[in-house]
Amino acid sequence: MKNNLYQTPAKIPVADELLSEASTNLNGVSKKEPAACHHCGDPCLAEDIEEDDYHFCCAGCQTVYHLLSDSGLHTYYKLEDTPGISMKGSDRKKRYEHLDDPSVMYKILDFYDGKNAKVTMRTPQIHCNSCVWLLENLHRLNDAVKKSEVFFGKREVEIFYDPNKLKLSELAGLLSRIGYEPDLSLGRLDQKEEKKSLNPLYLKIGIAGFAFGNIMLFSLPEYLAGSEGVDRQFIHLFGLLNIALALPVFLYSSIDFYRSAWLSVQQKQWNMDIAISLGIAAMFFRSLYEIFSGYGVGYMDSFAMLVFLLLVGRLFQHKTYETLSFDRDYKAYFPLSVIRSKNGEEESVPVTNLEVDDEVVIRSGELIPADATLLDDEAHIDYSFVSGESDPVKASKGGLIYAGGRLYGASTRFKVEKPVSQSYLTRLWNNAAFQKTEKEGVRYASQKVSRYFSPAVIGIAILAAVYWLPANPANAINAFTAVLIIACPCALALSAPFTLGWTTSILGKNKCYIKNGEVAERMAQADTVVFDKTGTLTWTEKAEVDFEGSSISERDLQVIRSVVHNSTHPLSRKLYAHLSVSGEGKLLPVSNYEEFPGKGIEAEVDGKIIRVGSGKWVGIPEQQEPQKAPETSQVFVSVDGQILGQYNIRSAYRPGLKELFSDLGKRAKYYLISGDNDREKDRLSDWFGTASEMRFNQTPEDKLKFIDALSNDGAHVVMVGDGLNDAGALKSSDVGISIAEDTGNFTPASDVILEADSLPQLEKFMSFSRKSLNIIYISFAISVLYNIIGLSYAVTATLSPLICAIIMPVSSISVILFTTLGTNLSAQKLGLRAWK
Amino acid sequence: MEVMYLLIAASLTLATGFVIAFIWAIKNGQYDDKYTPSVRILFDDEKQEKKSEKDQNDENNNEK
Repeated sequence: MKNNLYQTPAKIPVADELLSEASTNLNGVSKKEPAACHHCGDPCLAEDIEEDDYHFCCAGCQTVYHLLSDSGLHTYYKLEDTPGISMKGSDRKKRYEHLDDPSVMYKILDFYDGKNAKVTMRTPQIHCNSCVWLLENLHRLNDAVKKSEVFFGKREVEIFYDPNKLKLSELAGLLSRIGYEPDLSLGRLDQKEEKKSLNPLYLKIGIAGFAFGNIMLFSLPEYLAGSEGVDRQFIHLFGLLNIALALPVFLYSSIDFYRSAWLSVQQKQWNMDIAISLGIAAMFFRSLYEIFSGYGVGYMDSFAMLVFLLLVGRLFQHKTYETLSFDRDYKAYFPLSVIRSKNGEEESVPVTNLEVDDEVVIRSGELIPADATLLDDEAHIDYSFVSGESDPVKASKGGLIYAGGRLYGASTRFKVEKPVSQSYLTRLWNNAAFQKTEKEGVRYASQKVSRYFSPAVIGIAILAAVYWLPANPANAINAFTAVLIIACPCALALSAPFTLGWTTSILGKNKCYIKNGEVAERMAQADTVVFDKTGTLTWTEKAEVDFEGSSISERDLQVIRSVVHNSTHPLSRKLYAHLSVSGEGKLLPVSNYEEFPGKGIEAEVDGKIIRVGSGKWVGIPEQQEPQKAPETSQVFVSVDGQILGQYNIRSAYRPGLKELFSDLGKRAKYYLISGDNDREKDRLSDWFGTASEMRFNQTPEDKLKFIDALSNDGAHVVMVGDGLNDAGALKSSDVGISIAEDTGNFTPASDVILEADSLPQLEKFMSFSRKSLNIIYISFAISVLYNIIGLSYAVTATLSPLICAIIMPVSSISVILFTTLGTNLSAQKLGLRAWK
Repeated sequence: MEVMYLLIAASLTLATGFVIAFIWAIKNGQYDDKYTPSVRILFDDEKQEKKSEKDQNDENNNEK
């Protein structure tokens, strides 16, 4: 979770003994193991600043260390080792002036009354105890802060401060300086989603549980009394106490069932909660009758137990992954502010305040927030986020750039053409697909059963009553209410929540995070899978790299690695990762580094001029450039004009895909849909073969239309993607899965967040969902069995509270046990991790 | 057997007391964040050289 500010390539672990042995290698070049930064733990590669016996990897980390020590906050380093967030690359000052703009400030603040202010800042870098400690001791860094409280699960910190002594922009700056840069994206300006609190549910469960336990105690005497029964006086007392205890359960804890049943009735549909509400009402009123007529203690214990267990089932299904966000719209991607240049002065303004014809300055790596024309001569824009095209696109002066593109290269000026809300990208988000919240036409298992259950129960009740009416009218009412009571929707209503709760939990342990239980049901029904290519099937950072050319020395490799380290171009990063595979030795000092977008990079190491880039850049005339396969990028290297050779870089596909596709092929159809061009077609045809289709150069709308077409043909579609360009397709498919290499970063709006390492297990996850669905059906069958037994007592009007009190818990507990064992055993059989 | 009345009254009173405590705990927000308090209790109060800073620290800790 650390290091979101500066991406360091994946480290390959090397045995410690090897490292210490290899302090000098064959060429005599010393490869000293770099020290670890005391603040952030990263190896001190490019720089190594020593102070007080500690090493720091950059001036930024050292500055934070000073800041904290000066305020006496040493405990930060004592609670955890190297708790800091890496400050590399943050020498660029973040500007927060726009936060003081009243239109922005009041929307961000939770509370403001002139003397006190409260703000909730989202700081996704929180990852350990030290972070919590430091953020809660913020008042020691600046005494305008009165109190601060961290909410670890949500990665948020609530800060109470004095707005007269400290401006909001200064507060954000403070957080940023200690490494906890607040996440202030455009989405913050809209009111924050009030996460539904579970507190009411806890209250209802608590009251139902309390009532259940005590009512049971008062009902036991009657069950255990034997032939002479309990003393008259006590029976009555216990009965009244039972009523008193059951009243809050009837009037408060069961409210949700009544509401749901009523809604269902208004929509003229059958629903499980109708049966539950009828059963509850029957139990309560019949018990009232029996208690007041001195007949017994009533069914209150079964009633309270039923409500209690049903509510617990609901709670179980409510598992949330608070750090993950499954619902994002475009606003979460865009920055809150941008630098506008007016009359020669630069100011930081909120993105929503941009007007047409404004001139903005975008810095390298930043997202362009609105459709704009280029004012400078040329620029290179990385549209991978929007279109999936992985190579930066060159734009010339006057050309139109779409919002969502990322600027690669030096700071550039643009002229805004359309306000943010009308850019091409946001119009895409306003597409109808995004308005669809509930997928129509999906039938969930429990819905299917409840459609028939409620009318069936009522039917049987009426039949029984009608049967007894002529012979024995008293029995008629008896039988009618008895059927409603015992036809236990209890077990039925528990099957789905418990099974799906376990399914959600087990999938989560295998790094497949689903939004809620219903998603698992939809996964089980899926018969078509559509994959995006870039970033989903391919690694974003790693690549296949090989070298072609004259022999290259160890020293040369170090030189190239040190030069390439300074560049953020996708090819540079891949090359750096490749060169760092055998460990991260110290980098050589690099001077006069300069980047020429579209051409390459140039730098000086040890007096020699190094160039890395296109063939033309290192001096190869165009005709002599070697032929290359379409999917390969070539990066040439020269030292002092002498060409060493070239690196051939191809995108690397994640491991395990071949097995994944062959397993998938047994049960489902799968497709590839990519925003990139078709240069990888040949490589992919091995896997995708003839049983599927591949499409390239797809725009976000094309992807959406493709999914819609499949759905209209009746397919149940799973879409697997990773970027903004997939967002429409993800939303309109039955199950949208977004791949995340780091769950701390954003993910587009989706039903499932799948960690990249777990992608090869996708087929197992779908298989597991199917098994879970089967478990639900089997447990329905079990509960039907219990119902038959219970109904045989009910229709013969021989139902007694004792029988009810036995059947209900037995059926409920056996269903719970069965679903628990069933899901966990299935998981183990499939090879999924079930226990932590 | 009349002692039963006393026993029932006593046990119900006790049980109701607990329910009230439970309701209060929920309304007080103790169930909103189940993780961070577990981390917070492990933080030590630090010895401060300056007495005034110590008092302010104690005050802040008691507030939480």
